[in-house]
Amino acid sequence: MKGLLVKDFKILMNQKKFMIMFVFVAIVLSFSMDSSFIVSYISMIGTILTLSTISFDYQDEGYSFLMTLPIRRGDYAIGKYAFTVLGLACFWGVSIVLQFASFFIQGHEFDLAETLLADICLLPLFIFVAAVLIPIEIKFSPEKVRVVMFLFFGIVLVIAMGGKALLGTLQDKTGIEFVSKLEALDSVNPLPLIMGVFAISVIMLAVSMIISIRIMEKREF
Amino acid sequence: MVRLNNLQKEYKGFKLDITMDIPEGRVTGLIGRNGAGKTTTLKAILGLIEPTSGEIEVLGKKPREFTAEDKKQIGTALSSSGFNLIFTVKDVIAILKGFYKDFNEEDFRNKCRQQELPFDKPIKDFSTGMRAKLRVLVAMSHSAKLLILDEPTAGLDVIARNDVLNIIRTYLEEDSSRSVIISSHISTDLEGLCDDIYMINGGKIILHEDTDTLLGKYGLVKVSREEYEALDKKYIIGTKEESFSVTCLTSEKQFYAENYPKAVVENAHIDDIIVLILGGEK
Repeated sequence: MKGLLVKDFKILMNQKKFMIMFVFVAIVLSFSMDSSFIVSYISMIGTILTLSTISFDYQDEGYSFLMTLPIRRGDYAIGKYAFTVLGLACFWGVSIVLQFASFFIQGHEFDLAETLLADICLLPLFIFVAAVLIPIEIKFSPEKVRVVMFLFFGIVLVIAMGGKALLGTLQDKTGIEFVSKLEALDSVNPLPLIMGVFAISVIMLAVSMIISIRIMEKREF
Repeated sequence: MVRLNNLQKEYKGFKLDITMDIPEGRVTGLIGRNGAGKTTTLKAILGLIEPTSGEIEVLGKKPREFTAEDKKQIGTALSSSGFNLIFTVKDVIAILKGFYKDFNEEDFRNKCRQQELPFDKPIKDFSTGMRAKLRVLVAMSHSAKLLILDEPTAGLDVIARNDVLNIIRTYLEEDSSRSVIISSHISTDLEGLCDDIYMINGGKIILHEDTDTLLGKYGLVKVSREEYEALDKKYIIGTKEESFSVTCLTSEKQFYAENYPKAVVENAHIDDIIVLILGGEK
C-alpha cells in the first residue's frame, strides 16, 4: 500500500506546471473573491487532481505491470480511496489556511466557528464526487470516462431540472411554499444535520469502494 | 515451481491450450511468432487473466490467490507495460522502496549506473534499449525467486540485446536456485541462455526440448528428391522442398549421418527448427 501511495504522490509531483498554475490561481482568488469559493475551488481541483492518478495508471497498459507488484487487486482500489481522502484533507486544509490568511490580510471580520462550519459542510460534496468518480475511472478507459461523466452529469442536470419543475407544479397545486419551508431549517440546530450528511457521504464512499474492489477483482489485464 | 495443466484461455479467434512444467532453478524459454500465445501464457502465470479452464499453479498456489508476500517472490518485466513514462529512475527507486522491504537500493543504483541509465530523466526520453534494461533491472531489484520476462530484447539492437542478456546471466550466477521464464521470438537470445525451450504456435506447444538436445541431436538433412524418396523418415519431423533438393529436420542427425553418406547433415539452429516445423510439410 505504501508503494501505491508513493507512486500516486510522484504522479502528482510530476504535474508541476499544472500545480504551480493552480496554486497561483488559488492565491489570486483567495485575495479577490468570496472566501467560501476559495475552499470549494481548491478542494474540488485537488480532488480531481488526486483522481487523475487513475488515468495515469491506465496509460501504456500500466495496469498490467501494476498488478504484478506486491499488492492484491483490491489493494489498488483501497489505495485510491486512501490517496483521495488524504489528498482532499490536504487540499481542504491548505484552502482553509489561505482563506484565513486572506481574512487577516484584507482585515475582514469573521466568525471562526461559523466559517469553519461552512467549510466543513463542503466536505461531503467532494466525498460524493470521489465516491461517484473513482469506480467510473477504474472501470473505464480515460476516453470512455469522459463519455460516462458527460452522461452522468447530464442525468444529474435532468433530475435537478425535473425536480425543480415538479416542485413548481406541486407548489401551484397545493399552495404550499416549499422554499419558505426550507428556510425554516435555518433555525434548526445544524450539527445533527451535518453529521447525518457526513454519515451518508461516508457510507456512499464505503459502498463505492466495495464496487471498485469488485471491478478490480473481476478485471483482466 | 510453475505448472500449467491443460490451461485454456479463449478469445475471439484464438485459443490457448498449454501444458507446461517448470521446475526450480531452470531457465525456460518460450519461443514463437508474434501472436503465438507467449504473452497470454505469461499473463496466465502472473494471474493477470483468468483461464477459461485447466489448472495453474505457481510457487504452490493459484496465481489469483497470491498474497502481496507471494508476489514479492516474483519479478516481472512485461514487453508493453511498466512504470509510467513520466517517472524518472529516482521516482522508480522511491516507489520500489515502498513496495519491497528487500529492495536493495545501493545495488539497484549501481546496476543503473553500469547500464548508463540517467537518474533524473523521465523514462519517456529513454531509448528503447534503456527502457528494456530498466524493466529487467526493476524485475531483479528485490531478489525474486522467479523471474518472468516477456520479450525483454524485442526491438533492441545487437549491443543492447547482449547487455540485457548479460544482466540476466549475472542475476542467475548470483543464485543458482533462481528460475526464469523468458519469452522471445529471437531464437539466438534463448539458445545461449535457456535450459529448455517450449515452442508455441497458434496457442499450442508444438515442441518442448532441452536446449542441449535441440542443438546437439536435431539437425538438417539435405538430400536430392530421389534420395528423399528412399530416406527412412522415422526421425524426420519436418521437410521443406527446395528447387532441386529437400531439406529435412531430424531429431536424430547422427542416424542420417551414419546411414546416408550422400546426404548433407548439418547442425540445426532454433530458427531452422521453427521454420521447418511451422513452415514445412511433414
